[in-house]
Amino acid sequence: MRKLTFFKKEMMEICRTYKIIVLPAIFLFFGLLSPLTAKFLPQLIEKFGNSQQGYIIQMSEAPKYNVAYEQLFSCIGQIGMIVIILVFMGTVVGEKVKGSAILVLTKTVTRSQFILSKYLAATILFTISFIVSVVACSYYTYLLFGRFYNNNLILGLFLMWLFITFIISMTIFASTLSKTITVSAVLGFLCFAGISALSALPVIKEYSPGSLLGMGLGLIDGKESVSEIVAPIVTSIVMIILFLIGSIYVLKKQEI
Amino acid sequence: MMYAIETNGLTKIFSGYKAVAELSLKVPVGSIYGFLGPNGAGKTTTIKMLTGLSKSTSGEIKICSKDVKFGSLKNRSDIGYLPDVPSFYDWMRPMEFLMFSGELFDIEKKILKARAENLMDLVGLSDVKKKIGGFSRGMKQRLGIAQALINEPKVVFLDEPTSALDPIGRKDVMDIIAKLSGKVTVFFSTHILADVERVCDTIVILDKGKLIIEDSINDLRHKYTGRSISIKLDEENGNKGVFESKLKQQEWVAKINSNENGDLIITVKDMKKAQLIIPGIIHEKGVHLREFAVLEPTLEDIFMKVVND
Repeated sequence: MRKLTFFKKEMMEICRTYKIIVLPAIFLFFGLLSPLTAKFLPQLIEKFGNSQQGYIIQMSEAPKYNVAYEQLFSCIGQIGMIVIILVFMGTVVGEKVKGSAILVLTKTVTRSQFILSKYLAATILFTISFIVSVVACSYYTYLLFGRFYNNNLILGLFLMWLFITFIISMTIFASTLSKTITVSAVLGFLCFAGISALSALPVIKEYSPGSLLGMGLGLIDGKESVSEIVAPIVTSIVMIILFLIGSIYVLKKQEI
Repeated sequence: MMYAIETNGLTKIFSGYKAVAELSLKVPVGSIYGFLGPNGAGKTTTIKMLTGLSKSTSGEIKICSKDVKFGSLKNRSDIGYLPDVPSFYDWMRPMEFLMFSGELFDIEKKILKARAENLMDLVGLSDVKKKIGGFSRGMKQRLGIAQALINEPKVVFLDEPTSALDPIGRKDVMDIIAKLSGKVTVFFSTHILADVERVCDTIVILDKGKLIIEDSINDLRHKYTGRSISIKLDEENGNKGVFESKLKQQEWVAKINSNENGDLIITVKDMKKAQLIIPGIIHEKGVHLREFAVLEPTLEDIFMKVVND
């Protein structure tokens, strides 16, 4: 029971500081925007583009339902990532700088409980937001395109979910290493840029967690085979575990 | 004698700078122990080592006869800790924070609720229902003391609990600490001497990381007392000059000064002789005495003396 007390506090904090409303609301916006953009953006471009003298834009064919998911991956993979890093960058360093960590760490909270509770609570908050986003996106995709599902959809979305939980573990590691929230943010964004850059390199990209988004989308589009996703999934899970162990190790060494 | 806290050769070095040097303390069980020193003396560093939040460079620490190791959970049930600037979760209410703190110690809910209510009462927050985010510094210090006591610790560490407070807040906090006397060992760091004088049984003076003095307040006063006498004479007393020159001739008189009120402050080498002979000189020179007092040194006098020496 005692082991869950700090985790319960984390969940209560998410609710009482309205993160439980704000983050799902942002992800809901992504979910609603993606099918609308997929459906109407080509029409808008065609209409307004052709109104300019000398330009004629012709769309080759009407967009398919999977373009909505392309938009969702693009939204979450860019703005969503920034939001995730900004929301979770202060998770550990915030408590250290403010001083509240001292009060709990002089009680019976172990440093492992401290890190794991924070990661678990952050992952739950993100998962709720992600489900809200996916449900909204799928529903509007169905309304606008008459279809929203294929056999690889769940697996493709799972890869996006896994990538973001990986980013959360990386952000928590950056937050544990840092002495200020600003340093944590800079470190978090640098790591994210590093992971994205690595996924562009040959060979490495086959294993890099940074490839998960592209592969997830490829699965939904039918361009990627299931056998190719195993390596980055395994790498991501191993790296999540390593980031968490690293965070616990660093926190255990830190004098607060 | 049973000791609640024992340290032996406790040392902390930060990048070549000795913040705490070879500190050996023995804090008796049930005492209120004043840990005095100017800013930067090493008080907070010492407390962080004693509470296991910081790693000592060398030396040993025992709390209630158990070794204290950096990051270990072994002593947590025995101690309560209030940092110098306590920070809580602003979205919680005070009772909620106490319940949360108690749950971290796995205290049975019914017992915890009763204990939390008693502590809220002790620190005068029973009627406060607002969120901690809206608390004044004084209220936060009071809540900080309550949370430090939630596990019924044997030793409670209070790091400068009054330094950021206004006089009313200070009095409130000192009243609470005074109520703890005899119930729990209080290790209380401060640079406000009046606070220590009021509640502490024993004090330690720390300067530049080194222990300068460790003694009971009474013994300290005794050691540093008997050095000065104040004599107030009637204002129209014409023989004051003669009286003063007669005193200057005495071999047991070290120095004679006048304070801002015109009183004579006589520093003596032998208090007993001074107490016997001065009344005779007063009579002999026909001076009219209004007041004769052996000056008791304040803790501030002692502190300034030992720190400056």
